[in-house]
Parts: sequence; C-alpha cells; structure tokens
Amino acid sequence: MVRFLHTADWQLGMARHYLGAEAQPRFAAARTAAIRTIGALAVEQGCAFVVVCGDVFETNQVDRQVVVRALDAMAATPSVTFYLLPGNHDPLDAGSVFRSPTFTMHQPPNVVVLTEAGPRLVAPGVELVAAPWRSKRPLADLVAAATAGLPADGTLRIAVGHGAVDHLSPDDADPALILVASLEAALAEGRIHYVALGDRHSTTAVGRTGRAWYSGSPEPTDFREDDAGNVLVVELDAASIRVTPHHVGTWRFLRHDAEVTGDADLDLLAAVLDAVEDKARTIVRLGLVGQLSLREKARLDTLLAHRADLFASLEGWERRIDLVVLPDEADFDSLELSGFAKDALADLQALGEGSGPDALVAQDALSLLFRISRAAA
Amino acid sequence: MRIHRLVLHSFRGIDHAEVTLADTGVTIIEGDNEVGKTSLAEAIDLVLTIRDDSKKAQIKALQPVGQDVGPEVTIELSSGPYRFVLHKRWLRRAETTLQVLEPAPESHTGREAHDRVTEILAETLDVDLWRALRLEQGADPGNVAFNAPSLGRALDQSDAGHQGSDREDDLWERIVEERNRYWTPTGRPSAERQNLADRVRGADEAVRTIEAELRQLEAQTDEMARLQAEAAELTAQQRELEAQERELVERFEAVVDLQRDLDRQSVALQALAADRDRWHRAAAARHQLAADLQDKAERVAQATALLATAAPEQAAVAERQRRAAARHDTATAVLRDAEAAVHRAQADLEHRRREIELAQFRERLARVDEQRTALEAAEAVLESVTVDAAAVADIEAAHLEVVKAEAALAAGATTLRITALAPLAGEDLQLDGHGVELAEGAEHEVVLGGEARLVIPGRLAIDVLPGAEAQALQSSAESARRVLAERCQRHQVADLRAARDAAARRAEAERVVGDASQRIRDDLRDLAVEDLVRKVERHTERIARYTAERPAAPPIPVDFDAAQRAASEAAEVLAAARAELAEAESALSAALDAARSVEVTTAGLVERATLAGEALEHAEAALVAAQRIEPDEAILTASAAAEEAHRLAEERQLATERSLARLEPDTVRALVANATAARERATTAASENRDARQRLESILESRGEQGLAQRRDAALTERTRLSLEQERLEARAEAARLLHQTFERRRAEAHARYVAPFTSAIERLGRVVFGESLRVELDADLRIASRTLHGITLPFEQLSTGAREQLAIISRLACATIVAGPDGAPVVLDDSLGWTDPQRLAQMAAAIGLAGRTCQILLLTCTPGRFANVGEATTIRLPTASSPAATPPEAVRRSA
Repeated sequence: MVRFLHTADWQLGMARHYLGAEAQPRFAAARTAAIRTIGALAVEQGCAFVVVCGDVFETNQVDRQVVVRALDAMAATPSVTFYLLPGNHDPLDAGSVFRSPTFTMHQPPNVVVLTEAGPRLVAPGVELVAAPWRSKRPLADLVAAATAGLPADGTLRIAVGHGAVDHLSPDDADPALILVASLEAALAEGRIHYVALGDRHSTTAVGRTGRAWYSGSPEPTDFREDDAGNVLVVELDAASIRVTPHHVGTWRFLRHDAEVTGDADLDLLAAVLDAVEDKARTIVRLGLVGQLSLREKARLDTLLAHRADLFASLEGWERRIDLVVLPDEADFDSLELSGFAKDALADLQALGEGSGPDALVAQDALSLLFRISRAAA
Repeated sequence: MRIHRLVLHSFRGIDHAEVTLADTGVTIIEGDNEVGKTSLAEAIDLVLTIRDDSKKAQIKALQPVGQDVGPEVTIELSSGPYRFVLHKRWLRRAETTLQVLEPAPESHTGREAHDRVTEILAETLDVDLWRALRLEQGADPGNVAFNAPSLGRALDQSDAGHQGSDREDDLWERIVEERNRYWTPTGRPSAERQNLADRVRGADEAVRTIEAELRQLEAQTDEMARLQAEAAELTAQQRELEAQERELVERFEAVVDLQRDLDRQSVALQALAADRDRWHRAAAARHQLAADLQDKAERVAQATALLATAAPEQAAVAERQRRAAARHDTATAVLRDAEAAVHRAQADLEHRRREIELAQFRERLARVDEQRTALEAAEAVLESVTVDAAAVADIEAAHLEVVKAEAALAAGATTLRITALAPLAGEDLQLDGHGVELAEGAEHEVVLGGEARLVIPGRLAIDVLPGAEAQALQSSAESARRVLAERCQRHQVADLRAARDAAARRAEAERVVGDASQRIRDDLRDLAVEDLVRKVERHTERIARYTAERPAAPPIPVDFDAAQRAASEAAEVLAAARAELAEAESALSAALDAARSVEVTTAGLVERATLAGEALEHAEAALVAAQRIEPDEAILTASAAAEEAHRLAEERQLATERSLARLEPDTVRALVANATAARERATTAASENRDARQRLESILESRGEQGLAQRRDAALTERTRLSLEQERLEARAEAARLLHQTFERRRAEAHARYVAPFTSAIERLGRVVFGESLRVELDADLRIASRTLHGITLPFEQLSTGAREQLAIISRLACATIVAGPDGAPVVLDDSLGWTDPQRLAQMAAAIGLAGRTCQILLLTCTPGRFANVGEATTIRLPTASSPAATPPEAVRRSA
C-alpha cells in the first residue's frame, strides 16, 4: 500500500504572448506557486512522494530564474521527495536543464531526476519504473521499453512515462506512441500496478483499468484544455486503487462565442463577463459575430475597453472580428450633415455595405467620421 | 453696404466737396488727381477706420498744403439693417459724431461713436468683399480671390444646400487633420507609421534571431547525441583494428627476414656478375686486338693494290695531255692560215669589184664623149640654121601670096603654051633667052606677065606683049615673088622647100641637143666629168698596183663571182678552224685537269699506304705487349670459371625468391599499411570526436544558461503586440484616407457646382465685352484660372494687361451683382481701363452699365469722358484746386 501524488506538465517558463506586461509575470508566478501547493497537498494527504511525469520545464532553455524558483518551491517541503521525469519539452539530452549547472548546483536533496530508464526503489517494496526522454524524437515506446522484462515478483511498481498514448493520438505514425495494450498487459500480469503519465494537460484516465492516468497540468495553459488544473492523489496496492483528483489551479482560460446584433445582446455580453469570478486570473477570448450600428459598436468598444482592464486578458475585440459595423440612419442624422458631407457619407455607406476589404475600410472610415463628427458637433 | 453721401472738407486739395450717390447704378466722379479724386476712396476708409485722435502720417498727409486746419469727412451709408451718418475731423479740433438713422435712431460722439461704427461694420460688413470689390489706381489689376463669406453665402443661396455650412467646413478640417496624422502631403505613410513599421520589422528580426539561435542549439544538442553514439562505436572499432594490425605485423616480420636473405644473396650475385663481366671484357679486348691487327694488315694490302693500279692511269693521262697539246698547236696554225686566206680572198674580191667599177666608169665616160660630139654637131647646126618654125610660116605665107598672084596672073595674064610637036632641044627654042626643051607631045605653059620673047634661034623671035591688066597682074606677081625672095634670102634659103628642110634640120638638131644633154646627165649622175675621169684614173692605178704587188700564187680568181666564192669558202674554212681551236682548247684543259686529278689521287694513295703501314706496326706492337702481360689461354680459363660461379649463385637466389613469393610479401605489406592507416584514422576520429564533444559540451552548458526560451517568448510577445498595434494603426490610416478621399471628391464636386453661378455671372457680363464665345474657368478660390475665346484657352497670367484688367473688373462686377442685397458692397474703380482701346472701353462701359442695374458702382477718373459710354450714370465733376471752394460739384444726371 502506497500513497503518492501524481502530477505532470508543469511547463515552467511557459509564456503566453497574448498576456500583457502585467499579467505575464503573474501567470508565471502562479505556476511556481502551484509547486508549493502540490508540496503542501502531498504533506496534507500523507503522500510518500510526488512523481512529476515530464515537462517540468517548458523547455531546456528556460531562464535561470525559473529553475531556481522551482527548486526553491520544491525545497519548501523537504519531507516530500519530488521525482522529476524528463519529458518531450525538457528531454535529457546534451542541453538538458536537469544537467545544467544552475540546476545541479541548487538541486535540494528532496528533488530527484529520473535519469535512468527502468526500476528504482523509492520505498520499501515500491519501485518507480521510469521512462525518461533522452531526445525530442525517441524512436520507440519508452514506457514499453522500460517495463519490459520486469518480473511480477510482488514489488509494487509505478510506471512513470510521458507522451501520447495510441488511443488518444491522431498520429499513428509516431514510433514513440505509448501502446495502451502493452500497458494493460503489464498491469494485468502484475508486473506494474499503476501508470503515471504526463503530456495531456487535462486530467484523463487511460484505458479501462483505472490504473493508468494522465494527471493533467496543475495550472491551465490553453483554451483547448477541458479539465486542467488538477493533481492526482493515488492510493495503491496490488489489489486496489484509488485515484482522487484535487483541483489546485488558480487561473482560467475562457472562450466566449456570442452573436451581437443590438443593445440587448450587448447587455447580455456585459452580464456574462461581469459574472466571471476572479477576473484578474481569467484569460478570455471572445468570438463575436453579428452586425452593429456605429453607435452600438461604440458602446461595445467602451464596454470591452473597461473589462479589458479587469481581466488578465480579453482577447478578440481588438482584432477584426466577424462583426459588421454599419451606420444606421440614426447614427448620422443627429449631425444634420448637408451638402458635400452628406453625399460623401452616402458614398461611404454604400461602400461599407459591400463586401471584401474595401467594405471593412469603409466601415472603419464611417466609424472615424462618427467619432470626428461627434467631436465636431 | 451702400454709400449714400460723402462730404470732404479741407481734405488734401479739396476745400469742400459733396458727393451724393444713387443706391444702385453708376456714379462717375471726374477730377484731376491733385484735386483728390482718389481722396474720395481713401476718405471712405479713413473715416470708417481711423480714430479722430490719430496722429498717423497718413492722417497728417490729409492736411491741405500750408493750411493749419483739420481735414473733415462726413459719410452717410447703410450696412445691413443700419443707416448712419458719420462725421470725423482730425488733427485740429478733432471730433467724431455718429447719427444712426435706422433701424432705431442713436446718437454718439467721440470714441463711443467710433467704436459703435466699428461694431456695426463688424456685424454687417463683409470686409473681404469690400476690399475685393475695390480696384485702386495703380494697384495691380490682378486676379482677386473672391472667397469672401458674403459671396459664399450668396452662391449658397443660388444653389441651396450644396456647399456646406460652417459645420461641414469644420468637419472637413478635422478630416484633413485626421488624414494628415497618418499620411504625408504626398501620400506617403507618416513618420509614426513608418516608425511603427520599422519597430515591427525590428521585432520580427529579433524573433528570427532568437529562433535561429534556438535552432542552432537544438542542432548542437542533436550533434552531441550523435557524437556520443559515435564515440562508443569508435572505441570498439579502434580495439578491433589494433588486434588486426598486430597479427599482420607478425606475418610481415617473416617476410622481412626472408627478404633480408634475398638481399644478401643479391649483393653476392652482383659481385659474381661483376667478376664474370670483367673476364668477359678482357677476352673481348684480346679478341679485339687480334681483329684490329688483321684489319690493319688488310688495309695495307688494299693501299698497295690501289697504288699499283694508279701507275698505268697516270701514263694514259700524260699521253692524253700531250695529244691535246699537239692538236691545240695544229688548230692554232690552221686558224692563222685560214685568217690569211680570208684576208687575201677579201683583197681579191675588192680587186675584182674595182675592175668592174673601172669598166663601168669608162663606159660612162665614153658615152659622155659620144654625146658631147653629137651635141656639138647639133649645136653647130643650130648655129648655122636659123630657120625655125616661124620663119617657115613666114616664107609659107609669102609663098602663098606668090601662088595666089601667079594664079591671078595666070587667069588674067597671057598664057603661052608651047607644045612640042617634035622633040625640042633647048637651042631649038628660046624663051626670053632661055632654051626650052620639050619632049614630043609635051606642053610648056608660060603665063606672061610682061613682055616675052620667044625665039627660035635663028628663025624667028616672037614678042608677046601683054595688055595693061596683064601688066598689073604681072607686077603683083613680081612683087609677091620679090617678097618671097627677100624672105628666103633673109633666112638664107632658096625657097620654101629649102626653108622647110632647114627647119626640119634645126628641129632635129634641137632634139639631138636635148637627148644628148639628158644622156650626159644620166651617165654623169652626181659626178662631174672630171670626177669620172679621176675615178677612172685612180681605179686604173690601184688595179695596176694590186696586180703588181700581189704574189702570183695562188692566181687571182678569174672574176668577181669567183672571188666572191673564194672569199666565202675562206670564211667557212676560218670558222671551222676557230671551232677546232676551241675544241682543242677544252680538250687540252680537260686533259690537264685529268692529269692533275690523277696526280692528287696518286699522292693520296701513297699517303694511305704509308699510314696503313704505320698502323699495322702499332697493332702488332699492342698485341705483343698484351700477350706479354697475360697470355690468351689464361684469359679464357678465368672467364669460364667466373661464368660458372655466377650461374650457381643465380640458381640459389631464384630458390630464395620463390620462397619469398610464397609468403605474398606485397599483400602482407599492403595489409599492414592498411591496418595501420585504419587504426590511425580511428584514433584520429576518436580524438576529433572527443574534442568536438568537449567543445559542444561547453557551448551547451553556457547556452543552456542563457534563458533563450524566455527571450524568445518575450520577443514573440513584443512582436505580437507591435503587429496588433500596427494592424490597428494601418486600419485607422486606411479609414482616414478613404474618408478624406471620399469627402475631397464630393467637396470638389460641390465646389464645381457652387462656382457655376459666379462663373455664369462673369460670363454674362464678359460676353458684352469679349463676345459670345467667352468662357472662363474659376479655381477653388473663385479666381479666374483661364479664359477661353473662340475656342482658344489661355491661362489668366498669359493674357494681355488690358484683358487682365477687363476681366478683373468684370469679375468684381459679377461678384457685386451676386451679392447685391444688404450684404453687398459698392464696386469702386479708380482710374481703371487705362490700357483699354476706345471700342473695348465702350463695351466695358456697357458691361458696367449692365452691372449697375443691381449694384452700386463708383467710377473715379481723371479723364473726363472715359466712361461716357456708360448708359445710365451720374457724373460728378470735382472742382479743381484753383476753383473757389464754394463751387459745388456739378452733378449731371444722364439717361441713356
């Protein structure tokens, strides 16, 4: 019976270019903070150790600061040993961060890098069977290679691997795919008892045994992830298994698609955005479609400009989106333009109702006119 | 604005003048410049704008010369809803009074009055228009921009709504401003946009640079992995190669031992071969000596034999030489004889020729003598006989006269016929004393001219007496006979017959003279007789001498032909002799050459024989000397022994070589070299691999610490941000451009419509002056850009001064007619149209009159009558300075 914490894909040092100068460091800091949370959770849950299944670092070329802060965060809970597996982002190649002077110099005793493939005794009767990445393009199923030839001798074995499994990968040709059938055979034969995997950022069970899991990333990293921000506390013996997800993530990626065609839709959009909690740690991407008048567009712009300051990032409104902006009668009527100005306005409106890039420019021109003329009036 | 009345007092040269103007129509003010015609225009400005306390030079200049009085101006005018009378006096007792008459009466004085006027004008007067409508004397009658607000308003009214209001103008200005934020005047991106584009490019470049670095790092990492794999391989390879090399080296050492044996044998064999060769050479040398001796002996024999064959040849050559010499001598003698014979034959030939010549000369001389004799005889006849043809004719004529007279006598005279009946002898009958003899039967008739006496001797005498007539006839006949006789006598002939004979003789003598002379000439030819004689003498003498001197033998050829033949033969003999001599000479020469040649040959043979003899002696001596050192047999024995020793050694060496070949020395050597090279190469490769790994290791270590990924992320973020910013900026720029473009186009169109009424007003007035084909084009500032007349368009600046001034006035008039209402202003033209010819002036006057129907026009001129053609006008004549100030200006209202 062993109890340990399974996590992966810390992706330390990851940057998100759509984050501003203010949000980016906070985003990075949150990932380091998650390490402390994990350490604390491990202590609280009485975990014997923590396995980190690959992609601890976003890349081997991470900044020194990222490395030392991560090591420092792990050192905060000296009773918990962190077993780090080199993954595809941070393979154990010649340039590996795990061999860098910064890492080796500051490596605390409770941090162990799984540099050798194969079993390693981590507790009495418990072995980790590591399948570390040595290059970015391995030519075989590393987990299968690491677990091959292990006897079913009663030792509790936890396979620690990284990469896509054949069930979930669209790329059949990848020779490094982890074959689920092979895993399940080893599990069935009792040669291994749990497979701790990394690579998918969403928490995912592999196969039907309940003994193979992707823990997911402790902090979300993208809009595409549907269940990120978890770590798994695994309670294991030869006969039973209990896997408990714990949510530790503090950030959120939110994608919101909506159609806006009038003030009512704008009201709704405002309400939706306002309802989001913890806006400073929420990254929003809007997908707006529809048609607005100049006045409504101006309102949308104001509405979003305000909320852009609230959210860590509010993306999608700055760019050209599938939103047609056309003046309606009311927009310019109040200006009572006459003479040539009236004719020019009509020209632009006609152009803006067309299609193609010219229409977009015309719509912009109309917005500009709207702005200028209001200032002039 | 309308000016109703203007009063000037003590104003420049004007003591007092008052001008009242009609609200509409033309007012012409005539006056000299010094009178201050122009002062009127000036006064309007001054009274409206300059305060009464002004001390400006402009004001001081208003004071009449030499008078210390205050110049005064009173003006009554209306502007907008106002109508007022303003009075100002400057400098002396300065004052200002204002009476506002409409819309509500007001009254002001002093500063207040001035300010109120300024206020009213600011409110109601379009100053731009007022200025534009004035054309002052001496001012450039140039093109004025009519962008006065009131004209704009007037034009707006004519085309309501198309020209924007202030609001649109303001909007337009903002649009231009907005556009200029993003674009330069020439349509290039603004500095801000270019700057941003540069920054985007910079960010791009930064990303690329870092990504390249990352790629390089990745490549280095891969390279490191490869090098590590390679290092293991190389180590294994190196060990295997070393083992191979060791084994091969052992095999090679056996080869080397055997090779060393072979080398030793080879050296020994070489020594034996040298020994054998030395003995071979000795035998050959001995053989050579013997052969040499034999050869030399043969040569001596040869030389001796040759010398023996040379002796008879020598004799033959000597004989030949002697014979040739003899032949040569003979030929020389023969030639000499032949030459003498030729000489003699020539002399003989000459001799014979000369003889012939002599005979000829003689012959000719004889003929000459003969002819000369004949000539002399003939000449003697000629001398003696004078009867010539003429004389004969003379005598014949006389004879004829005799015949005729005798015939007449015969006919008329008595004829006495005597017939002999018997032979009659002379003594028988005499007639006049002459016997008559007649044969029987013969008759003898005598014509009797005179008396005749017939006598028969002895018998009878018969006298016959003629009658008178017969006597006359007789006399004539006697006269004729006398004449004939005289002539015959003169020519010493008896009668006619004799004369005829003599003449024949003379003719013969003459012919002989001619013939003989000719023959003499023929024979003498160019010679004189004496010459001929001399030649004969000389030839005779030379012939005699040759005959005497020449030897008798051989005899002289009988004649010339023979001599010729002899000479010819002698010449042939001579030629033959010469040929023979030449032949003999060449034969002699050849013989001499042959003799010399034989002599040389013989000498050579003798020499050869001598040398051969000496050589033979040497050879004999050499052989003997050699044999004395080593006998021939000793050499042969030693040579055979050396040969055998060498053969045995060679066999031994061959055996060793075969043993060596069995060990395949080349293959073994190549294998060893190859193994060594391979091992060395592997070592080098391993060492290179180690170096490369160390190098890469240090690179990777330092690179890995550089935080490249973070830097890339930062650069990417920056690039994304900048791109986004640029995208937005460019979108704004495009929007501004499109907005500007659209407005500009529409504005220009509106403007074009807007200027149309003004253009048509100008053209309407202008056609009065320039005719129906006139077209004008206005620019954005309502300035005349060009004029078209009869289809020819010229820019305004290229028009003549007159035309420019006319158009400038017409455009002012047009402007004034459009802004005719309370907004308008009077047109003031000061001494205009000075450049205009009378006909054009009349047309301009018509145009001015036409404009005057709707607006106020003030024409100032110092040329009375210049505007006489203006139909409806009021002319005011200003008093001259000398006139009494009290005289009011003369106002004349004229009606067309």
